[in-house]
Amino acid sequence: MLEATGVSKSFGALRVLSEVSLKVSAGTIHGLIGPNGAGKTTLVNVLTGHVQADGGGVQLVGASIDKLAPHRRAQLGISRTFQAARLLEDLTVEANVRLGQQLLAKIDDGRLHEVVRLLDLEADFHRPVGTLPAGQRRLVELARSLVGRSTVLLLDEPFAGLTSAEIWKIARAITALARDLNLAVLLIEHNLNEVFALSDEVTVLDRGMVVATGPAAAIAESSDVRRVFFGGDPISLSPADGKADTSSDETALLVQGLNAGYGRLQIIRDVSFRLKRREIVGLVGVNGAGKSTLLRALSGHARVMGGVVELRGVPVQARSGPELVRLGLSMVPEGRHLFTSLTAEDNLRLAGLAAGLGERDIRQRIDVLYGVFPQVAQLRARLAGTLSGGQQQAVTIARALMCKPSVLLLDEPSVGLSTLALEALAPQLVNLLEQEDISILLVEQNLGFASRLCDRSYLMDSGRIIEEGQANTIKLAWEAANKRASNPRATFAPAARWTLADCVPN
Amino acid sequence: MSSRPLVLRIGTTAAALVVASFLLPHTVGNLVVLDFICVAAIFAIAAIGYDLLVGSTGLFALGQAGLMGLGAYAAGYTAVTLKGSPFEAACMAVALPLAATIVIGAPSLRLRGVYFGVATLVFSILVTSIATAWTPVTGGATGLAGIPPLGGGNVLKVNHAFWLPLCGISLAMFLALAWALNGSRVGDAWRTIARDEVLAANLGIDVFRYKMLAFLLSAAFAGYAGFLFAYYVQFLAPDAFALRQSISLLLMVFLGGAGTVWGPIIGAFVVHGLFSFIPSDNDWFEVFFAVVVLAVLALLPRGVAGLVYRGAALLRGRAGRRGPSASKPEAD
Repeated sequence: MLEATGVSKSFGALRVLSEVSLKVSAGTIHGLIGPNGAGKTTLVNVLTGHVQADGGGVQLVGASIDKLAPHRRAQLGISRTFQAARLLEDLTVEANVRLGQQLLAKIDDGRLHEVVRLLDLEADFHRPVGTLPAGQRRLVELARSLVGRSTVLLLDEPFAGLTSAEIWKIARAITALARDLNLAVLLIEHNLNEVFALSDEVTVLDRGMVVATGPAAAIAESSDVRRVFFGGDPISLSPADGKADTSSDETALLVQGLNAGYGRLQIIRDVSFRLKRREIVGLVGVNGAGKSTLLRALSGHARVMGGVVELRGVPVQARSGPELVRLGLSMVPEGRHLFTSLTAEDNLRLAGLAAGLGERDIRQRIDVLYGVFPQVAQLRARLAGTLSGGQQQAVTIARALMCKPSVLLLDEPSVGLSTLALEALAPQLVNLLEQEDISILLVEQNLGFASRLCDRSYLMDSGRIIEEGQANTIKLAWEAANKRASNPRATFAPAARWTLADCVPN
Repeated sequence: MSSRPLVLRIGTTAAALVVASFLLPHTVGNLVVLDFICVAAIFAIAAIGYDLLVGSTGLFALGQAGLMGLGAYAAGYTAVTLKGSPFEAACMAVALPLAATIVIGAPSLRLRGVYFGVATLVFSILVTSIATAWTPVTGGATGLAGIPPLGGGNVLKVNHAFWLPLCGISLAMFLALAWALNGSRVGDAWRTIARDEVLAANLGIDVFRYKMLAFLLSAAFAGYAGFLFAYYVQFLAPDAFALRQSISLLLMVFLGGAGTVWGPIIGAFVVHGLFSFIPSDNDWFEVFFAVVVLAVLALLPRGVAGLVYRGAALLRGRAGRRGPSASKPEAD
């Protein structure tokens, strides 16, 4: 039905997709998985025509659609949903669902009502979409795609941030509809459980390349998936070798019953944990587990919906980002975000100015940090854009320390770094605890790196903390979750047996 | 959706407008009032067109007075220099703004962001400048005089028994056209584009074409309003179509209620009335104008029509709470 062959795309010097080929057949569900930044969304944008590929092509039922604008492709039956549902907020569910068809063809009320019944939207039919919870909004978007004459359905993370009951409802509908309406469905998801349970075939994307593709059962077993998603073989599993326990019993950061998310979408559910003074604690879990959102909520960049966050005994959950920095909470964002056209030292200086330090304090602070990170001292005059990934990471961490924080939130420092660079970074982080009298919350997908540094870790899954313990406990829990992911039947009823009849609510 | 079909509602409203325009000259003797109604109706036509662009499609533009001026000068030039008939003048008045629209819109409407708004702003300034500079054609700063009177009368005395029905019929026609378009799939496409362009494209809407359509229609409305204006006033001066007039038209749309059927018409009458009371050569006029614009934007984001609809909804809600009936779906 829909086929991409050798699709390549670069944004500037960054190669986002290279030679990606993918085939979605009618009546089947094709899962597309891969870590953040693998190029999944870019691939969808190439398929819908919003992004022009540099190379390769896309075919619909054997005919090339490369030259067609997005709206033409939509008219030919390619329909998509979005990570955050795009709906017309002030209109009713009915009006939103009708949009999908009104514009393309005349309204077939029979199909409309069948879809609405299948997705259990009848009760909310006349309610404005803006008043619906996230799960229902996804269903409305799905319904909108289905009442049109779409033949290809691209679902961009349809389960993100939903409860298991909501996931169940959507999963059921997608499966039944794909078969009964003979749709070709491309399912992009972080939740591996659902992808392996629902998909007939799965493609694994990593750094813009297809790592593996084939029947879902075979891919679930493949070691490539393990490597891509679980950070490969841990560097070393002897926990914190040679590292003295520096932590004291004082609490640096206390989180209790935290609920958070974006807009209406709740991602973090009832999270509680404690970070002691001069302690480094890991927060691990697969992509989409909610780790980064948790960090954003803590640093004032995601919406806190409930719960308590205490920084050295002071409640801070309602504070803004800049206030939190002044209170001693600093974050190292994923992807580094240095000013590439400034030197390493100017990047530090800028952070000092932003934190409101005077010129003399900035100078002093920079010198202290040069002592902590000798490699940054050597690189002080180099433009940040010319540094390697590992060097940039060190500069970024030094920058976050300019405001002399008491708690450092470190988001995925291992992403994009070589083993060698990681080896260099690990001891520096450990040394920081005492030198800077600081506590570190380390968010990692790379379990090996996390267990190397942290005595204690928390495992996150679907927005909750599901396990706390030492490296070995976490590793076992992670593998159990991983096993569930590889075994569809453990969490989901066999998808193939679902029919439309199952989906009709009683 | 209302119970009565859209066609019927548009038909009865348009018919009522036409009938009223025939009756008014015979019932109202006051020339000032009749003159006010004629000019306000002409501006209402331009405002309705503007609303298709600004209200329905959600595109910010500042060129409506420029387009109206282009239409007016095209009509004036055709009538005075080329000695063309009023019909030929009307055709020119619509054709030239349409051509200008294609030149402005074809490149700038493909881009997102402020390009289109800036392009229309520059166009508006350009029209005034050319009208001032190109004396052989436009009469320059002294203006273009000698446009023959329509329907009898002369420069000093307009025949309102002719002009009110002409304005009424024109207004009814353009109102009906805009209303029908807004109520059709085209209107749905426009409103979807206004709220979310990416979504619109993914639903199969040709975003560029629908934006262009709205822009072309707004130009046609403006051009025709310019034609009426030229023949009604029988004299054209560049500053009648300056940027301030564009803002004033924008004010009509927003004060009346952007994206509503009656908004632009209410706005045209209110704004024209407001500015008729205060002579524009008063030193404080600009200040007054600015304060009105800011007040409308701050206090009445959905305009007078929005206020009326909200009041109606409130009344309906109160009635509903008293009775046992369930909540009704929202009317347009």
